[in-house]
Amino acid sequence: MAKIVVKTHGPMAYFPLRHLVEDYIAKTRLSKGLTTVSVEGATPGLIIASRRELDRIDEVLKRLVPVTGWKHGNAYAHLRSIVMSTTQTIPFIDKKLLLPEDYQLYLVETRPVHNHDRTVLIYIRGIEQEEKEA
Amino acid sequence: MTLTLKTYRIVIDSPGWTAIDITSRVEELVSSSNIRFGLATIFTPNKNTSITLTEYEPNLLSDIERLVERLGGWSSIAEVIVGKGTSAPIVNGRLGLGAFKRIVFLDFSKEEGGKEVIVVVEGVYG
Repeated sequence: MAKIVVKTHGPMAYFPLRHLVEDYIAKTRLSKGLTTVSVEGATPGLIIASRRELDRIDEVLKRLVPVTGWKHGNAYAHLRSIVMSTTQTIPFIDKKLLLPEDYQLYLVETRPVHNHDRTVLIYIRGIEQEEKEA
Repeated sequence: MTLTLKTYRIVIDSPGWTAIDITSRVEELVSSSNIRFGLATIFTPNKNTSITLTEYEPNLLSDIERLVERLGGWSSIAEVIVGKGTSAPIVNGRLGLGAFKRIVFLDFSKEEGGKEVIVVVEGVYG
């Protein structure tokens, strides 16, 4: 289990984590398996998305869950977090995440914060490199 | 290290159209599993039910209802948007959720009765 602290700002800022997850996998003996990434807190999001579609995704999230019109103080942040999820599971093979080249795992900071600490936990399980037959 | 996996079943007595904090019940299962580092996956197989991670606060629960209404009020859409399950890391034998996040069972159906939650705890003892 790896614990990483990401410094964020917001609102609605996207922080790529793919390289951090792959760096962690590279340090282990595991060659293929599954990684589950979680972020602490009830307002951030974790999404798997194409870098090219990020503007459109951002627009839809804001339209689906506007900032105002709710009872709870920062409900928009919680509701966007629920829609996005705070955990994602991705398979890896040859120590690389099984995602298209232009895809990223993003930590989404929903709140208007500056220099905020977000704790990300990475849990992996799998098998070591199989020995090749002579 | 050997990976251990244990599966548990919780039955929730639901009045229908409700939200129930099940964090303590999942924590008890994690504790009884003796797994120190790993993952708890929580899933609900019933029709029109969801599991999410969020703050369990009355106004926020009311806002979730309002979001469902914005989506047309359909239970089947709500369970797609919110999701059927989630996972929470286990760190030092405890759920790593942070300060306010809770595991919440949501029943978008209007049907009362026993609803199922499956908890799969995996990880290592060491």
